[in-house]
Amino acid sequence: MTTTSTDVLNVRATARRNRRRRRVSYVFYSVLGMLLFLLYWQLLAAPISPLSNLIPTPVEAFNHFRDNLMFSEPMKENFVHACPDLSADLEFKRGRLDSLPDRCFGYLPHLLHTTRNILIAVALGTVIGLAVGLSSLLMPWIADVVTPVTGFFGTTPIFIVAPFFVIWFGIDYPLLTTIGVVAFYTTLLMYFFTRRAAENIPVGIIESALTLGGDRRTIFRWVYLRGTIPEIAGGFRITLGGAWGLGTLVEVLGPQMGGGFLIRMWSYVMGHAGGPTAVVALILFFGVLAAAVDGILVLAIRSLTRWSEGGRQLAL
Amino acid sequence: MNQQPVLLRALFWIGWLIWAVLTPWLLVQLPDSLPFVTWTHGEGVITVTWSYLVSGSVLFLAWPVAFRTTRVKDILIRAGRGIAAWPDMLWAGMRRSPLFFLSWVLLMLAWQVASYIVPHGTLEHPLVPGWEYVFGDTLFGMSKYWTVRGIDLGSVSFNVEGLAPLPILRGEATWLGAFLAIAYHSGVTLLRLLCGLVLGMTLGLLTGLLLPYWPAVRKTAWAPMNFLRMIPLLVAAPWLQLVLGRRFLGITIYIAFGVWIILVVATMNAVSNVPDRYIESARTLGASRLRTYYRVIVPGSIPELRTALLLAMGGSWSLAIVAEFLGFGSGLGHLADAAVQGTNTAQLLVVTFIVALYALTTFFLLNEGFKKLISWVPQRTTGKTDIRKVAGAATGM
Repeated sequence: MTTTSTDVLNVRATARRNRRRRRVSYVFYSVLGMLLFLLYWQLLAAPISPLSNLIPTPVEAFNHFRDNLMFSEPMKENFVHACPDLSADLEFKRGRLDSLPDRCFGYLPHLLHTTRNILIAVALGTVIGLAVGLSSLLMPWIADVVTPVTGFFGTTPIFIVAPFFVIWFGIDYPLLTTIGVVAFYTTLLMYFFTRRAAENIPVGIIESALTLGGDRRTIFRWVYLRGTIPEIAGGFRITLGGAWGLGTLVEVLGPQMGGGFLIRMWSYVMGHAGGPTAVVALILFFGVLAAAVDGILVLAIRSLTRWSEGGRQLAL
Repeated sequence: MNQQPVLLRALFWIGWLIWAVLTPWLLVQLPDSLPFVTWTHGEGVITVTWSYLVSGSVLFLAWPVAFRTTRVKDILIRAGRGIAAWPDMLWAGMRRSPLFFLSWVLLMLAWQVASYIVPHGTLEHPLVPGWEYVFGDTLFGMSKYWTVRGIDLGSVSFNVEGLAPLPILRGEATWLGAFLAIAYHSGVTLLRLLCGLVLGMTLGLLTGLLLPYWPAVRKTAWAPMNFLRMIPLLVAAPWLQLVLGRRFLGITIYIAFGVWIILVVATMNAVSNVPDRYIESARTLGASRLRTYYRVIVPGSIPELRTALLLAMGGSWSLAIVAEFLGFGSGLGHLADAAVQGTNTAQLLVVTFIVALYALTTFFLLNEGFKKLISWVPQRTTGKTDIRKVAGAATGM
């Protein structure tokens, strides 16, 4: 005897069709949205716009980036290069930098330098933040010691910490400036997200674990460690999203290499032709990079946390 | 019935605003023969003295004292009790979590010890300055940033040269000048921040609530909004200053844009997270689409906006400080920039403490305001857990 006349297989097929339709609609509207955004940008930069001198068109920004990626004539003219090791070996005489290979004057080494530093710093900060955050769950005195200090820096605009690193390490150890600031920021945020994720685990789950004979160690291992993953992963997305801006900004302030340094160089000639185009192109590069990395993260997190509702619902 | 108090409340606030505008004019009407009238005025310029500021404050506060006497009395009593209870509260807090205080004391001591160990170097200021240097010479030296000679409000100008000696006019450095400099630059930053924040929040909430009403618009806007959210706005400061101008309006729009983009995405998210059963109930009871949206979805999405608002607040502080750091001649960000230019870690530390104090206060006020706003949400026992309690119970079993 059946309670329904609906064909189960048909229901599943319909659900699949609907899901596919939703995906197509998502892609369609996303593409439409980006096209409208580009059109709006084009209008802002059009010759009829009063801002046309200050805002490059999307095509101009893209062309500038493409033309200067491997070798940049303006960078060579201004002796801005990305090969400090090679230049140190050259004799100190006029025109010595001309003998540097072309790749030293392109944007690519700078952008790779920034990307590498930020990723190293985020990895470092994440490890420390997670280690301290998770340890504090087992050893509450760690939280008592760490939380007041992290709470203070957590509410303070993180940028205000950057100049300290610039003064302390800016000249002798420029690498430590970017990595130091970003790692500090990442540690703070990952600590907060870990604590919050642990606090947000529903009481019912803990009670179930206790009913099944869980003790302090096993509950930490099987409930807290696993249960916090979806929220910590979400926090990691936010942290990484902010790290791109902060890391680049630190380079605007001090170090002599990196994407931020290029932005600083071009900022000096902002009033001249080419200045706004270069700065916008570089800013957009970091925006696109951040969006792409975030997209990859979403896919990775979604597949890793498919078992949780939060993980399944994760979307761009 | 309820309309009258609302009307009276509105009249009170509007009246106070008018009173505040009239206060400077009222003060200059006072006869010079009065003993406390030390200020002068003429040709649209008021020469401000300390007596003028004190009298102005008294006059400004006279309005609530006159029309909200009981309320003012209650606030004063509560504040008095709070101040009286402060030592007890501090002591209770120290007993409850001694490590909280201990960690701060240790941190301060470690810094002081580091100031003795770390070599001074060839720079003018120590790399790790001791606290006596930070709150002594450095704080005192900040009087050189007291450079304000007058404030022009169009129809009336205020000459403030008499408040403290101006070092730029060969005046001597004074503690008063240092505190006036901090107050002035703080005021400038707070005004910029407040304007940007209010504008950004208003537009962000409105846009975020309006867009999802039309599903096609929401879906179309989602991708570009998310992309804009990813743009590192902090780095864009030099370019945006060129586009928007290095003026008050420029920095306001810059901060507002940053706040707007955070809130639009968060609000759209909050709207889509309103439980379906709320909407189904309203529709079942016959509510129209517009009414359901306005009366159910909009209020239902507000509780989820707390984190977004706090994030927007944090973002606005960063944007304000960065913008001032990179291109303005006033504000706390400018003081930080001056500290970096002079490799003066001590001054940077002073600015950091000031910014932290303001940031903590604004976070607290926003959080409290938000709690009041969502006081209608039923309070439930939270699902928060603490491994100390549950796992401790387990070990005790």
